[in-house]
Amino acid sequence: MSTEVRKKYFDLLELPPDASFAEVRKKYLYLSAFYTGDTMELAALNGDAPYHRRQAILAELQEAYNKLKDMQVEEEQTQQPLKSPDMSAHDAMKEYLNGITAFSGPILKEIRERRGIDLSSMSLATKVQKRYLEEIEAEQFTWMPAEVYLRGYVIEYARHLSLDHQKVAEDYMKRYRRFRSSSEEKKK
Amino acid sequence: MQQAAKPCEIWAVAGGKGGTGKSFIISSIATQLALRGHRLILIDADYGGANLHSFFGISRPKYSLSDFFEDKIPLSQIIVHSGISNMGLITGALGSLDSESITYTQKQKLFRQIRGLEADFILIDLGAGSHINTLDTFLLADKMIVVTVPEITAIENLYQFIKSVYFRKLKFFMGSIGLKDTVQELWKNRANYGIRSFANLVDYLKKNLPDMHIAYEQEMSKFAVYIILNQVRKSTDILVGENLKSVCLKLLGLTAVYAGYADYDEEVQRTINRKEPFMIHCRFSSVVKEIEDITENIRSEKRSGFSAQIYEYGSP
Ligand SMILES: Nc1ncnc2c1ncn2[C@@H]1O[C@H](COP(=O)(O)OP(=O)(O)OP(=O)(O)O)[C@@H](O)[C@H]1O
Ligand SMILES: [Mg+2]
Repeated sequence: MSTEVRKKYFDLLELPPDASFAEVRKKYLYLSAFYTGDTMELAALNGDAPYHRRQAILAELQEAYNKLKDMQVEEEQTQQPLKSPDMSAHDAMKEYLNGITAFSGPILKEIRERRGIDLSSMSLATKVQKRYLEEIEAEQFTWMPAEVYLRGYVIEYARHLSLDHQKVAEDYMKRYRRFRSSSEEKKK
Repeated sequence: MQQAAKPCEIWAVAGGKGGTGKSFIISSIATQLALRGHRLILIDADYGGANLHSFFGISRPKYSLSDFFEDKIPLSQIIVHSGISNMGLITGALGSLDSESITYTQKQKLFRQIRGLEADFILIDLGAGSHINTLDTFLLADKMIVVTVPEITAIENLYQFIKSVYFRKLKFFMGSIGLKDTVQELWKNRANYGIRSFANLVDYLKKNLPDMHIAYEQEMSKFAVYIILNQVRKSTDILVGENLKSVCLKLLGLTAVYAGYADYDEEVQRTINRKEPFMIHCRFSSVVKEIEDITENIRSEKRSGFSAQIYEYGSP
């Protein structure tokens, strides 16, 4: 990503270009919440912030965040692992991830919990409803609108945990098709 | 100490609604700068409701702007002492003058003489409202400061005020590149040009006047407002300044800095009534520290201002 494009995304999030990714995330969540809600400040603008404009702002924020997130992931992958105090935790996580042969709902849940991420904040960041995320983890589908969405949601889920989302989606969907066909057989 | 090499910086404060604390804030900022050793002149340019002298316990100033407007005494000769070292005061005209009665020539002469004053800083207090003389005096400043309180009516007025200032600036700018009436014309018939908002208008100008692009960046990108939130009573109020900053950026396309906030403190009123400068007589109030921070954020031009700290106060 060129520095000019980078700067544009930081500008959109109203941050200086040296802001950390943690700041990017916090600001993204803050501004998204502000432009989604019915706040006093927006009400005071006498129609200067109608629905379609706020939607356009939200879309821009989302794009800026996604792009900066991708960049962050790329950087992490190319960087040599840093010698930091939480290295042991990092190593333990890596070992755990290496031991996984196939990703499933319960395993995703386990990884999420080990990373200390709760479903509400994941839902905010990925824009996937919390109940769908719960269903992915439980592998029980009541609310999920259709199979085509499931794959996309699983990818969002995996990306949020910085996992190899292609592999996660592949594993997950394989399992999903297996237990769906078996449950259909039971119905028969 | 000689600081002749450093050019004088003009700060002005305004903000639309009356009674938000503009005069209190600018007089406190002035005191803070003076205490830090900067030589400054504070001007009361509230053309209809001058009262800045009261913040320094002066009841009948020896000179005022009336002497400048009516008796043609040069501005540099009507400076009175504020009672605080390093700070001179030009008090507002009492009674005889209102914004309407100032002529164009008088205004130009006043601006010329303000720019010619010798000091490190010139601070200007303005009245409520968006009168053209208020807008023009505000645009004289290198640092344009607005004060609001966390109330919907004040925010409404502030937003209108900022729009008026920006529009006026844009008109001056277009005039300077020989397109005096273009902005007016475009805005009046904006439906025909598919212009729906301020930001649209600027985009339209940039797109259709290719030469303007560079000049615009040079001149208009300097346009920035510093937002101060006053009379804060609860911690969630503090976020209002950050939200207003975002609105300026996203909906008007102009640079805004959240310079900081000041708590509501009953001591403010009490010291004013006792005719004592607040910053000197209320050292234990939280407001003193807040004014110090605000002053530093504006002076240092830290564009991030207060914003980095907002997360301590919750979500919008
Ligand atoms: N932080 C504060 N805490 C408590 N009271 C305040 C504070 N700031 C201002 N006030 C009170 O609000 C009143 C109005 O303040 P001030 O005169 O500075 O407002 P203003 O915006 O200059 O008004 P005007 O538009 O009439 O010029 C003052 O009498 C003062 O007592
Ligand atoms: Mg005032």
